[in-house]
Amino acid sequence: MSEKVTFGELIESIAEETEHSKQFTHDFLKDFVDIINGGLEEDGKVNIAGFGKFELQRVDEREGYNPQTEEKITIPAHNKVVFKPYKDLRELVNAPYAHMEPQLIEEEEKEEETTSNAEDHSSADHQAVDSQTEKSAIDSSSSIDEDNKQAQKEQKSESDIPESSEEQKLNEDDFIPTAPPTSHQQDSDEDKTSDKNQIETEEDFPFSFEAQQESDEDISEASASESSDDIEDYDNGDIVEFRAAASDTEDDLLEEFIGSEEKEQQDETSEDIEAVEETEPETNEPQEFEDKLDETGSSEEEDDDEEKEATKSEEEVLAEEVEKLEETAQDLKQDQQEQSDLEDKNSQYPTPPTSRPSDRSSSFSYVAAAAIVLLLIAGGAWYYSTLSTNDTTLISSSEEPTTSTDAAQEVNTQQQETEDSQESAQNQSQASTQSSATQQSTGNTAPDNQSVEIEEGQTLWSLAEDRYGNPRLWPWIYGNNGSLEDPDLIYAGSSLSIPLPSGPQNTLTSTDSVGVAKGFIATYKWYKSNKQSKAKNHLWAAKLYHDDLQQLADVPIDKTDLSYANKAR
Amino acid sequence: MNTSDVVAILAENWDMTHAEARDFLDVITQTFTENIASGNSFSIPELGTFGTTTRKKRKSYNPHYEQYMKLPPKRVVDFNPSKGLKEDLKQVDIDDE
Repeated sequence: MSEKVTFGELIESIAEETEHSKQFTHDFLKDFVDIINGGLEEDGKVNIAGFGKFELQRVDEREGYNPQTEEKITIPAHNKVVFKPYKDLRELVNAPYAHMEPQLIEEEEKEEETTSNAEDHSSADHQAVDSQTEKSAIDSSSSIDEDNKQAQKEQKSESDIPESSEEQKLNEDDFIPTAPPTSHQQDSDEDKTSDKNQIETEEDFPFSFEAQQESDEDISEASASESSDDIEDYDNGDIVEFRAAASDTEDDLLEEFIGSEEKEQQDETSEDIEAVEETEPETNEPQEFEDKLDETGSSEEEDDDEEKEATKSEEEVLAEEVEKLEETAQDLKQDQQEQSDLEDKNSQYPTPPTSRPSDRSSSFSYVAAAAIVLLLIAGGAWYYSTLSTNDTTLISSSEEPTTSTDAAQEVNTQQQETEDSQESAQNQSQASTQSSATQQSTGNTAPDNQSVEIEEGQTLWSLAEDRYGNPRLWPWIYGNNGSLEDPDLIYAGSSLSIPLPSGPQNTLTSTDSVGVAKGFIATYKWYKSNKQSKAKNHLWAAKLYHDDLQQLADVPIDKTDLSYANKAR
Repeated sequence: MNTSDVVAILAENWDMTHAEARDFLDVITQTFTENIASGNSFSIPELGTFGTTTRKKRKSYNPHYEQYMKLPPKRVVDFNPSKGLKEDLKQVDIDDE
């Protein structure tokens, strides 16, 4: 991975694949390039299906600068060649980050966000801890512990995943304090909560192309399922543009922090770390830190003693130091306060952004209005549906005495639904018991059923088309017959119970839709248990007819399929 | 210019059927894709170099929610046209279609 492949190697692999000679493929490829060249000249764009397109884009004239002669140049307007990959290639290339999604952030946190940019752009030189930056270093102490904790966790997960690419290494720790925060606070405390949630996704990190190729589908499904989990911060997996080295052990982190500089800084940072300790007592750092602190504390006392003997300039220096320490103590208290505030915010972080206070009152009235409208519509629909079912039940109940004692009967397959009141009085279940009467009389809201014997050449699709005008509703029939197995195989001579729409022709009432959705769930289950990949498409289709699929299903639905059904719209 | 046009020219130049030329082109494309997706970089003479880069995460603004948002890092295809290509096409008139 991440290696330079030579043109010759490419030719070799293509020649092998196409079973032509190397010379031939070489020439062919050259010709191909020529054609692209010609196409760009002629049309300005060349589309290569399954790969991408080459385009010419116009670049305006602009002023440039010749650094050698130090004179201004005008760069004339010209074209540039761009390559835009198509979706497949794009997705393959972005596979390591495929599970990440954009996240909305609250406006108050915007300031913290700037620090992340600063951090991203800052140099990798972590050795240069200036005294000027100490104050800001102190401010960021509260976030440092999260970084360390994050580093901890990521190290654990890292050890589970064999490293195979540079980029993977870079990904782990966005916030290892390799660079000193200059004038910005380091990035967000929100990472803390995300860390805990993100561990699973890190471990699922696709890290080798071979693995991806083998399990492309799995990954896409996995990412689909995880995307709902991953609305939180993804900072874990971010590229760290600076050195990857800063990740090996906590000790290394410590060292970086404490550094090899002057003791003053060492004191400062160890105090920072002490503050860190107070807020995150669970890390292993405490002991080490406290030890160091003890050392430095005692050394400070010695310094103070020496101060009296020292010259005035030294006194001043030390006095400054003491001042600074006092400030840091105050700042630490402040930070702890901020920390707890931010923790409160963090607990809310994963939830979707709430509307601003000014919007709440107006949005509430909108919601109320929408709710009222929906209630009216729902009420109307219910009323309408009960009207129609009332009719059929009246008719059917009158038919009942005459037909309830009938044995299994052949039924005319050509009649329309609403005219089928006579037949609908009979409801033959697939198990060939005659529970029609009971079902019919209780069916105020349940749709009526028509029993049909399958003729040769009929399919569920064709039956649905006959009955409903829409053959795509065939799973409704399937779902209504519990003993049907393979929906693609129905046998002539067997009987089916065909549910009839309870509304007017060519419309589906809500109860009908529920039935259709249940039918799709049934087909999904069968295909799933027979390991057919189209299973999840049926789940997706079920969602068209009813929203809450899990409610309709009596067994838990596979999560990946459910998110596929929810997602791909 | 579409794939089919390209394929037509190739088939003509190399005395193949359209189907054969198309297959060959697919193999070329597939090889490129595999290499790019695994992070390798390669260059084709007179065309350019293909490789991958990573876009850093960044802050952006979502006008629908009227809020700032963080965009995740992204790995993308990187194409640098070769000198010959650049020079040839620098001053071509682009048609407005």
